[in-house]
Amino acid sequence: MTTTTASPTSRERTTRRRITFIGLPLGLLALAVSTLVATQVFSIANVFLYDSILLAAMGSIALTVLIGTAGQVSIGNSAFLAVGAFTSVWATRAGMPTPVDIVLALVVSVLLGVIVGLAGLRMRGLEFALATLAAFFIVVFLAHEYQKGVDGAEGGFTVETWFSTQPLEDAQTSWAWLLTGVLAVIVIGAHRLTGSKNGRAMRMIRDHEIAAPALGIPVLRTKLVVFALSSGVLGLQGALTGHLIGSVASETFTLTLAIQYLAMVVIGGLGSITGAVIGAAVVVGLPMVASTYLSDALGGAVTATEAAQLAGIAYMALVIGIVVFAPKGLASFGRHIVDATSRFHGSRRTRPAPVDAAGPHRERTSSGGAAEVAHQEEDSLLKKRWNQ
Amino acid sequence: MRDVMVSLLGGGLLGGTYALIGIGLVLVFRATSTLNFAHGQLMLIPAFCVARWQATHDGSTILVIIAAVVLTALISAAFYALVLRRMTGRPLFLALIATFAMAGLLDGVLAMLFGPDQYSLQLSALPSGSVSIAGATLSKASLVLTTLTVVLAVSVVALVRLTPLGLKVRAAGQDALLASQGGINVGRVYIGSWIAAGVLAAVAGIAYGSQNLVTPSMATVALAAFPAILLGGLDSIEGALVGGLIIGVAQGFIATYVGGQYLNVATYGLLLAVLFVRPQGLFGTRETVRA
Repeated sequence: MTTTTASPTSRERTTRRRITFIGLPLGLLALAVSTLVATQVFSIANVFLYDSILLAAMGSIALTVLIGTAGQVSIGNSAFLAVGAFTSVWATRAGMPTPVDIVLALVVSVLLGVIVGLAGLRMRGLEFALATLAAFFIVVFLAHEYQKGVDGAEGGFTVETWFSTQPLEDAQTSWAWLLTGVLAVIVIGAHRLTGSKNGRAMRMIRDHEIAAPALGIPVLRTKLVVFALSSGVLGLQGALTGHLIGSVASETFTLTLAIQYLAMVVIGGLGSITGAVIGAAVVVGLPMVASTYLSDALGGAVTATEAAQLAGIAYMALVIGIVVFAPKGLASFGRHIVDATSRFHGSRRTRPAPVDAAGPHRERTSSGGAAEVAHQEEDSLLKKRWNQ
Repeated sequence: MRDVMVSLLGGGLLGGTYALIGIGLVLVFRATSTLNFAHGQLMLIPAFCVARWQATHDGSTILVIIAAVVLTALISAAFYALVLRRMTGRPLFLALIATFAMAGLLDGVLAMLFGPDQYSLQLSALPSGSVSIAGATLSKASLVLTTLTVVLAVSVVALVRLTPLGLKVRAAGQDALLASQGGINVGRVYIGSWIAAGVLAAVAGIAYGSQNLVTPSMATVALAAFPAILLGGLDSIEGALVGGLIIGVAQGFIATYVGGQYLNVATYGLLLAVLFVRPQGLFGTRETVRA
């Protein structure tokens, strides 16, 4: 978001840096604790749901970096899930042993990301969105043709599920820890990527793509790297999902699925890694939770399917509400609290003077307070220079 | 020759539908600078309403059709007034995501109201029977509908091209600030554009639904109009007409000579090709660089 009117004082900046510094280990700890609790307390079905959320969080993080931080709206994200899943299927059918197909899925998705990116990222904004839409239809078509061409796979492929030698309950627990590990790696990677100089470059491209090269930012290369990485993560997620649920079918990779991922990213707050995980939990968890509890609670007034549909309607409405009223998503509430406490403890007397960096076309923050992320202040200076 | 006529006329009906959808999308694009990915759902609303009414009631449906069209226009206008109008001056992708969320929201509501069933939609006013043109047998109904959609599309283009009202629409779409300085109520033009887009979507939905089954997947027809408006030029209303007809007829020929399963690939391959070769399309304005 291009809201930048405040420049935090140095003490606030230090506070926030310190919070960011401890934020990552704290977040990872929270993830581990929640996995521990989930695997100990939940029923098998709910651990499976937890696993699904962890999987969705991977793609959601990839997209929040791509869309929220770098500003490239990709509609074809479910196509990369399909690429990963089908590469894994193909590799397994070609006789490759288990972890190799996952690695291959990752590599192929990254490569395809580079190809689509090289072609599409020269475009900006809506054109890029349309190009990814076209790529989506083409990938799904190819996947469908491949599926049709294999005997006995018209309705989809059966994939060997992992940990199947263990009892069901243990298998889901093993999955939960495996996915927690993978997700932790992705969280650390995304955190490092968006917090570094690259992150600032991405935000500059998002806000002022035309001015970015003048600051020495390699626009195409940065966009390409982000797009390829996010494609790779989505591909990895697709391949892992196949091994969790035990089947891969081209019909499941729909545009609706792609929209659900956009919803996750927006609900959590564009560009927020924590938010992406929260968004994944809301979008994947809400329909399940609703169909379990709502139909019970209302005493058969709604069926389980209707409850799940209601949940779907609810989070789509939530997305619209967030876009209109709080474009920074649910994660921004947490950030407000952090800012409020840091203001209370530190620099209450030194209220920051608002810096007038907002052009006529740019939205202003509602208050002159310091509710801004640390990196955005660099943006503000850059923008000020380029926004005459 | 028979195959050619079948492709041409079958594609023509599709092309007329694409043209109606495309003109709606372009009007909305000029008003809001975003692509409306909920347009397909706007087509579904009236098609489902009318088909459901026909399944449960007897008698004339003309009033129901009018009510359904009005309802669609209202939803379209409300979406603009309550959501997209607030996106002015915000990053483009927020508005884009809002239209996606609207699509998902309407999908959910329609699924709850109408279930996964298929409906058939009959327009009793259309003539029955079929005619033979150059060896090709075509139903009279589809010919009438083709003519109707194309005539409607052409008249909207003429309205925007030739009348003082159209001049206002074009001015407001070109430069909102200058237009308002010139005494045009830009807000009213924009909401009018969304109402018109809703009406066009509703007509397209009913026309398409009467020739095909009404199912939730009908919304993908609107997505195929994106290649059409890109080909014509994203901001060009006559471009949407020409692009829609070209894509429709091209799909007619692909369905006859190559095979129906290749329709999507070919259409979106064309979209990619246009993006590469001529991103401003046939009649569009080249995007100027805004710093």
